[in-house]
Amino acid sequence: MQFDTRSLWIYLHFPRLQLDLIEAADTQCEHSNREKPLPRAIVNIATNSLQQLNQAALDNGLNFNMGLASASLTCSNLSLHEYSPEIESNHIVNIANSLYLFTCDIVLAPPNAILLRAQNMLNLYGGLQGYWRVVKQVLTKQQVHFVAASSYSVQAAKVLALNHKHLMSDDRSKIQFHLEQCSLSFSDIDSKDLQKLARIGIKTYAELCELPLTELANRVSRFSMSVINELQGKQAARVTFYQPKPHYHDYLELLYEISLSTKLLPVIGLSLDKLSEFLCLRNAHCLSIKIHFFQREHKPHEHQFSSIRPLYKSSDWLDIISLKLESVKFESPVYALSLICEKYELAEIANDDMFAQKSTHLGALTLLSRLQSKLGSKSINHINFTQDFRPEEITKSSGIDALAKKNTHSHMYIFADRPGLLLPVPQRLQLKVHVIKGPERIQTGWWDDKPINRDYYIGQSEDGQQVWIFKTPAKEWFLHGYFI
Amino acid sequence: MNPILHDLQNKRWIWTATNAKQQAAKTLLETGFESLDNVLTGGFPRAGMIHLNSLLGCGEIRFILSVLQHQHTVSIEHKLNIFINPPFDLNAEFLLAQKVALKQLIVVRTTQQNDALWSAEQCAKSGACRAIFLWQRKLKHTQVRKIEHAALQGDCYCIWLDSYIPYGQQNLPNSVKSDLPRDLPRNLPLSLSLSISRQADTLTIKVNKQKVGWAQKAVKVPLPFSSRTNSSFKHHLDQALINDVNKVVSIHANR
Repeated sequence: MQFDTRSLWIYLHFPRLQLDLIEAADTQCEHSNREKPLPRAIVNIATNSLQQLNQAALDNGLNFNMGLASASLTCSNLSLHEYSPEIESNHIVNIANSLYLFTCDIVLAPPNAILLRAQNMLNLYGGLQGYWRVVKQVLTKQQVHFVAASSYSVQAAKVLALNHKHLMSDDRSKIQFHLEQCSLSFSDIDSKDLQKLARIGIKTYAELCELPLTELANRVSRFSMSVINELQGKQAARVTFYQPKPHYHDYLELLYEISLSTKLLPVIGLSLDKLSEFLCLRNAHCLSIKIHFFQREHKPHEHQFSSIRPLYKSSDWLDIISLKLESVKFESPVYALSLICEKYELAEIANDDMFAQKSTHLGALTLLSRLQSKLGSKSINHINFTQDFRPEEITKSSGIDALAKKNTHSHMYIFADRPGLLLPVPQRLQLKVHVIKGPERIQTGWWDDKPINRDYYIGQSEDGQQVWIFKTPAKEWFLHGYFI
Repeated sequence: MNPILHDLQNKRWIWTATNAKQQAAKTLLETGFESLDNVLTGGFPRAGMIHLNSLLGCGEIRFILSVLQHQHTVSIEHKLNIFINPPFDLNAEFLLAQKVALKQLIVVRTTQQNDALWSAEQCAKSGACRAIFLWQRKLKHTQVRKIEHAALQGDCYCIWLDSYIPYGQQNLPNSVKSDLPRDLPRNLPLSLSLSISRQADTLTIKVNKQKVGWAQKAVKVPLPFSSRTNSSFKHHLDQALINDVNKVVSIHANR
């Protein structure tokens, strides 16, 4: 999409995103019982150099781009993590999601940057300062370090931010002043062209501006030329705005491996809190969520957790999950988990009586969800009536998902004197009874493969037990039910 | 008075004979039989765990359902009836004839006793159930206490069907005993414990335990359910046929 060259853009650069993520998870899980944070660094394996360092590591004399060997010599208790662009790219989506609530035009610049088009938000928030305060609050809540710069072109904002100029202004001359001091090396200009420019003594933006455009055009490629035009605000950048995905996906890497399912619950709780926030903002709730548990040595476990009643609260979900996890055993420790909610539905506004909730439908659905998640859906059934003469065919059980289904029979013919309990398979009669009613002949079922031909009687034993018995044409007696 | 006793009395956990009449107030559920109500000093408790000891197949469920019919709470038809581990398959036709809505009926089957008790407790506690029918052989003091407490909390009945079948009669599922009635469980924290037996057209009900009231003799009540299987029915049949049938049955049973 092409945009005018008069919009104000804000470039957010996150210089130590992965480190921030790890430290945030660390403080949440351990409540930082240590007085001093440990030195921690992110290593880029490809270049074998330190890429992100926390303050403790810097205090210990470590530097960016230091080799791994010299780093470990300098600081013995350094904890290292491998740099992964995917983790950062995933996380900027999360940041974008939280920003999306306050600002509309967001452009993702993976792995560690986000662009905001501030222009059309200025009226809403009453100027740049008001807008920036809101954005800053969101970012502080995310516990990430960031460098931000504003400018009237995407490219210029990027160069400013990457040069670590904290600049938040809509004053063109001020922006121009800071931009002139910036090195060109962080812009999108082709590295070959950068070298060519360096050879003729052009390293900063100010030096670039002194050269006439025609001169420049002879020296650099067409691509670099368009970047330079963007930088000078003569050409608009082509960007695609971010739109939040309709489904929810969250991936969480654990700080240490866990094999006990009960220990996993607090971690799942954190993830569920995020889901709950996501659903709450959309006034939605969901019926099922999927969690993948990634195991160190084995294939990931996939579990589907479903509820009969739509839920959004993390505590409700945690309740269901904890019941089901009781019966789950992991083959090897879990190192990460992902939570997926593919479908959610908008919550209907129901004016429930607050005090009647105890006995309403809602309570029943909550109960059934609980039972189902602990015992498995096969253990809990409804009973349906089928119009048939054969006792075995009358009762059909069905899963409780069919709760809403109504009995379609407009009128049911029910015989009196039917026993409450039926033996699944009739057994030979061993009880001494005398007949108190009968016979009642049931001879039917010729249309399918289960014909019966029986004479039913009601029998009563000396102890007062009433049973339903039948006689086959071969004069054999069977017990089929108890009158409870 | 002893301060502990005083405290307990304030909480109405102590029953004294003097206030028997007061306590038998409207909070009880009338059973529909005057003689039984007298023995129970007014009727069934409003909620709680009820122990029902009987032979399997003497009309125990029909008796309970007939009593429960006297409940008149507004939301009662929306509440669930839960059957946990019935010894055999439930018959939908029977339940419909007893005016039990199949939509509000849930059958829970578990392999472990613990799961069955857990389900009973959850159902009782939820407040979404009208009655829970639990077939169990034996329960411990703590198990009963948990469910009783849950049932009071959720304002529902948990009916513990302690059914047995005379020894050697059939292949029995786990939830039914197969021996003769032994000593009944004592000192369990139940709301009510009844023993039922049946003779032709009457039920004999013995109150083993109730929370309030004196120990009483067993009472006889007429069959609380409409049944065509009474003696008058025989007159419609050819007497010869009946004799014939009786002969066949007894021959077979003696084999």
